[in-house]
Amino acid sequence: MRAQEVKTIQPEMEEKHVTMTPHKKSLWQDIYSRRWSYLYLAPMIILLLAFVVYPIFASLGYTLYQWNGIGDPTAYVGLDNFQKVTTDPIFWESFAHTFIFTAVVVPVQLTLALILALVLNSTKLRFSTFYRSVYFLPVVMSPAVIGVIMNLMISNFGDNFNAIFLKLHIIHQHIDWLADPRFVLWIIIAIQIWNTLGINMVYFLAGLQTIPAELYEAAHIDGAGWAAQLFSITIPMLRGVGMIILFLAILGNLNVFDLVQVLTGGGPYFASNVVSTYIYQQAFGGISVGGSGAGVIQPNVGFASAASFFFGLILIALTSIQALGWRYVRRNNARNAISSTETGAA
Amino acid sequence: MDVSSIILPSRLNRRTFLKAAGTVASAATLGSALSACGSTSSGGSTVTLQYWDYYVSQSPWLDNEVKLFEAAHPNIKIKRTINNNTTYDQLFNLSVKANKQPDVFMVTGTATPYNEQMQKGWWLPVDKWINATWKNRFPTGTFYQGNNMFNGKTYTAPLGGSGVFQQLYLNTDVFKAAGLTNSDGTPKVPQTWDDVANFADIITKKGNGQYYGLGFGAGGGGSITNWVDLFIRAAGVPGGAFGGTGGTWYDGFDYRVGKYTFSSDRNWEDFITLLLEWKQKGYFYPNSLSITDETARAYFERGKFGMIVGGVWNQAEWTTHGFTNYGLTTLVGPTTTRKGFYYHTPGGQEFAISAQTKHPEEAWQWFNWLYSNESEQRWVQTYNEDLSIFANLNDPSKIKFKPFAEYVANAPLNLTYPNPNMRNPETAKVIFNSLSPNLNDAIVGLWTGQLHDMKAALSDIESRANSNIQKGISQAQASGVKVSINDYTYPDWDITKNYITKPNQA
Repeated sequence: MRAQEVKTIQPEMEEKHVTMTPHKKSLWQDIYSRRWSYLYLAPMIILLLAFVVYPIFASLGYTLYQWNGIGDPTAYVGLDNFQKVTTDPIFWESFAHTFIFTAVVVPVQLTLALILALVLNSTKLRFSTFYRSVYFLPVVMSPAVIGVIMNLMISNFGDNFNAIFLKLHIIHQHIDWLADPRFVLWIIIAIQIWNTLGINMVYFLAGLQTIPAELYEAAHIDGAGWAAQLFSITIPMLRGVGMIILFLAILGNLNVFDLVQVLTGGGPYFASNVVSTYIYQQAFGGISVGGSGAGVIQPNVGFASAASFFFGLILIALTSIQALGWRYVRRNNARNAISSTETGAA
Repeated sequence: MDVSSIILPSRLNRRTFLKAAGTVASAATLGSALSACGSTSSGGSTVTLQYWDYYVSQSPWLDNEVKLFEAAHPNIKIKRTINNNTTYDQLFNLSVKANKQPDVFMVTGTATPYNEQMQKGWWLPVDKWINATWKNRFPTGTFYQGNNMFNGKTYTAPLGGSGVFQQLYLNTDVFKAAGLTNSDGTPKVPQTWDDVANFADIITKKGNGQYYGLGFGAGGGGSITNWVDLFIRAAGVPGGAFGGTGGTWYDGFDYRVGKYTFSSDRNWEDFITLLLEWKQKGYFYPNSLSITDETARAYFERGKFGMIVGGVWNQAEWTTHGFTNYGLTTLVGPTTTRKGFYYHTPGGQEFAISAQTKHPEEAWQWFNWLYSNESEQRWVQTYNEDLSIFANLNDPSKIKFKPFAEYVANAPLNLTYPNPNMRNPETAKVIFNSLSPNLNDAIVGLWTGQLHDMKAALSDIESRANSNIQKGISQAQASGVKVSINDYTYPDWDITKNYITKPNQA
């Protein structure tokens, strides 16, 4: 539409607004008019309410009880569970492991995934689909299955690994890899990087394919080299999708459970315990079938709920700090950009 | 003979099988819970009883009993549901909530203690069918209030006897390769801690990295505590160490003094020091802490190590693999004289009838069949599942399979010990929380070197465990339960003899 046409139509519309009574829809009318949208959203909302929102609030109530998870909670203990969680060194040790795990896995994994995506995105690479499938293959396997297989490989064939390493003089004595506190967490970290590398690679590939080829052509014509194109086009254009990948990777790794549980159960002596396995142990670890009848050991779902809730609070606090940090960086960058533009103009 | 070259038959291992069976069983349970939910159906004159248990390795015996029972009672059909033992407790409680209990079932008391289930009227009393003769078949003191009786009514009874919980198994081929066999080809049996160390030393040196003297599988379980348990009891520690990763509150508890004695009884430190020394000298298969118990059992079978600690259930698995060439012993102490034993309390529970059943007569017939002499005889003598509650059936001479006969012959090494529940039934209302880190954790920490100070580690566990007991009692007292630490203290207990607990007259 040309500029002149716009100008001619605009006064007519303004006149109409003056003469017509504005029709304000009620909430129900508004919902009704968009009923298909709400209908499509409904299943997900219901599932979210039932399996995410409700458990959060339900578990909040359980935190105040000593409760074995069956029947209704009756043994009210007030904030005792929270007091125990905050003073339990094993919780804090598990918390530290969770953060070491996340702090190592996320940057290493994302860097590797980006490099792989850049390589596999190249139009010059032959059989790229095959390579993509190969790298994506571990993602479709359940972490529990991977845990079992890795456990079999590392523990049961540990003799062979040890024999090779001893022969190469890499080690000087037999090592029980998954039972050695010096190595166990790092082994899990390495497996996690391998296991989830493919999904991040696919995310990055999707992001890379949204970057218009014209930008690279223009940069090429302007004489920009590979590195200049990477840092001036690719990375800035991936910022949006990169933030989502980073966010998902952090969340996913903070909540790591199945791989650790299957591979080591958090051992030896809590050396690989993460917060999720700690919570699991508290909720279900004390179950004992049988006994003399003179007293029973109970699983403590109340305590586990308190640990879970407390961990959730810490995560919210950290996420908030992270969000504030990002906002500060963005504002600072914007301010710097404006000042550099003004300096340039002057 | 190259022992390490013994090939494991390629079959499913027990854990895999149990998992698969459990999954199938859970699905079946859910299905039946949603459809029949414990109700019975009758077609013409035939009554179908819903029956639940979580037997897996005992399934051949139970399936045979169903077959024999149905043949003897053409008008009654048994619809058996095998459940996953880890979820059985929850499923059973849910079935009660939904008022859809099975007619006859294996009892479970983790979430809702047995006496509470009897009190709430979940179970049907069987007094109208049983008499003194029926009850007198069981050992003296089997039936009492809070255990299998409530308000003078009888609801359930034990099925199996109490045997020696752990054995030290000896691989005959490995012992033979190390020159440790008797003239008849059987493995030499270690009598003391020193014997075990000597045998382990000889085997390990002979094995030269191909096989080892000792081995276990602690990955995902508490097998390391099983070792401590078997060796420390014979030194005179009556509480033992079993159940490190979950277990029961009384593991390690010494009723003579009414407390835990992990640091005050020197035997603990002595044996754990010896265990770590065995590790240091390389007697243990080096990956023992990370392989699973199932893998360790398979490795023992293949001759990767000469000695392993395990329960009688190992035998069934090895038999299915065709591995029978092993010997066993139990309760190995610092000297040849055993100063302590395995212990049990009289009483027990196995099956019960639902109070909601619409076919009480038929349910009783099935219940009674399971507790019959003939059924119990097949349990112990034909299927070698475990000991029978009827002592006269536990006759080693009538058992063909030698290792199981040895296990049965060792049954007198399990004595009766104090029973707080008998002294004061109110103790059943006391709840003790699990301990974390527990004894198993501490031993693992010492094994890996994460814990350096054994005295401090044992002292810490002792003090927390004793506080836990005090806390449980205090909480119960606060809610009106009449209990005290005296209910758990028996200074007159001689740990080398059976102990008969008398009800508290007060």
